[in-house]
Amino acid sequence: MSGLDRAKYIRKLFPTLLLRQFFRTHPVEGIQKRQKQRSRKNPTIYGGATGLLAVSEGNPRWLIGIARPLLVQFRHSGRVPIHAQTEQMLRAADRFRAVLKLIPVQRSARYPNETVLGIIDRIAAFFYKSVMGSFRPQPHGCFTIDTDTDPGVVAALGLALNAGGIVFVPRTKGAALLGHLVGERFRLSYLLSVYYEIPIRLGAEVPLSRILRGEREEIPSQPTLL
Amino acid sequence: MNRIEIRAVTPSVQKSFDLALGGIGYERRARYALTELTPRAVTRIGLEFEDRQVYDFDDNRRAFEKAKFSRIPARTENIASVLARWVRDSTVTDGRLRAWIDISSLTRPLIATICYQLWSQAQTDERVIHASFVYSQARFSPPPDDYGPIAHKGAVIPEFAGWTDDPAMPCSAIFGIGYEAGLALGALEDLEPADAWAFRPTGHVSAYDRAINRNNADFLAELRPEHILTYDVNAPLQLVANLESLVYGALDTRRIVIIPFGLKTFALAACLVALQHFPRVNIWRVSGGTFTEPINRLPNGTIVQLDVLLTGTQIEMPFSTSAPTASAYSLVDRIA
Repeated sequence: MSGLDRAKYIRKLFPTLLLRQFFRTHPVEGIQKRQKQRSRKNPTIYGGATGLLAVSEGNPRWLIGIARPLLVQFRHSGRVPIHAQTEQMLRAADRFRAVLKLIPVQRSARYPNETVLGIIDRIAAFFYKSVMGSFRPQPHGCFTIDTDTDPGVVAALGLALNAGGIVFVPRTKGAALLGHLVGERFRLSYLLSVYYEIPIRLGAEVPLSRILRGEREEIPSQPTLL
Repeated sequence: MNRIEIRAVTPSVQKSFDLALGGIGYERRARYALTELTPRAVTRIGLEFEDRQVYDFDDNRRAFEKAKFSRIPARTENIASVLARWVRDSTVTDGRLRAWIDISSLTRPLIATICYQLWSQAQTDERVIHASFVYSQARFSPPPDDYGPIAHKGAVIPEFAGWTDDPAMPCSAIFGIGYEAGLALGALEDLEPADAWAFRPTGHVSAYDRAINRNNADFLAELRPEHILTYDVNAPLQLVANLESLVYGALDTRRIVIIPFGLKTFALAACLVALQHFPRVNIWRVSGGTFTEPINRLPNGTIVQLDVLLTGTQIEMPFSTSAPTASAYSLVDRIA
């Protein structure tokens, strides 16, 4: 296997495989059964300094919100267990979802009962399926607001962007200013990854209209590792 | 501080009024106080909702028509002009104007508009207005699974947007909680107050308690336990007293925002306290508006009443920066 193939098929796969291993049932020896997805009450896989810093997105308020309760434990025992870290991350994600739920929206003609949080839920559900469903080497993790997207949804995503629910991902370095949403690429805030059980990484791109139409994931051909 | 006298009375004490006002909506309880208390009034107005005319709407309309209520669309601008005209044109017989107002099915903006308009007209026209607010409690019905989209977040009406001499003062948020899932937590995170308090209703069936606990667990976990206060749904006067006491104690060092979820009596109490300290207290509203799925709330047979005396006298200018030296209103115990 060449270095390029190793990078493509092994190194890049590793985080996805870890997540799948964590959130899927283990096969029982001798029983031929498909693995099932399972929900973890405490997703400790996101713990650790790297996870904590990524999840807080460089937002000092989020970092303080997560770290402050942990400091009590740190002072007491000199260390903070992983499960305590992820518990606080989950609480922060819950609080942030409550903020997103409260964003007022204009009634959209196509999606009259859609909320900012509802759209984010649907995007996250699509990404979750992409990671946890039938295996794909590079699951979807970001989306492009394409021209087919309903204007009401685009307006709602503008509000989500202002609140920090979605994050602009420039295609070129230095293109940090955003003039319009259509045609641009976004990801969900990593703070929400803990709640939705999706990777803290960019992933492959998908048009938003495809997510909202509820299209099934097309499964790419499996790579041959050996 | 502004002069407002507040007392709780049993709903049957007074029968004759100069004005009777109620909401014609889709809930069955909208007509309960009207049919049970049969208030007699010179002017009778039903505020008819223009959207979601479902469930008991037609029956409610018939009940108000039978009681000879004229119907006007339930909009804040309508009620403001109607009340202004009523205060200006009414003939006072015994020194005060009497109003009977059923808030059971009114929205928070309508309740706020009525309170503000009566208070400001009492001053403008130098009248004494005796307002009897009645509220028909609802039988338990499970909270909706999803509250739906939010249509409004901000001051309940512009008059209650709050004003402070010192915008740099930290914010204190006071929540009235109900069983709306996640809304209090969202408002708490959105406001980022320096400290937060919650008023939790008690004295109702245990199903309400369970629903309140379930849907506010994350919110209540964010608050210091001593900041979670309770109020009896059958004792609105005590609620006003406790809320006013908390606001009065904090106003010198805090900007106060009251967020009235849950019972309408808490929204009413918030408006009355805000008027006592007008314009320093902000009342917020977070609502799905017409997005919200209608639920036909049935009366549980209990009606509570809160009587408020609004006078044209102001004993302290509202924009004064000095702290009030004494409580300028009187709380009268429940009159049997």
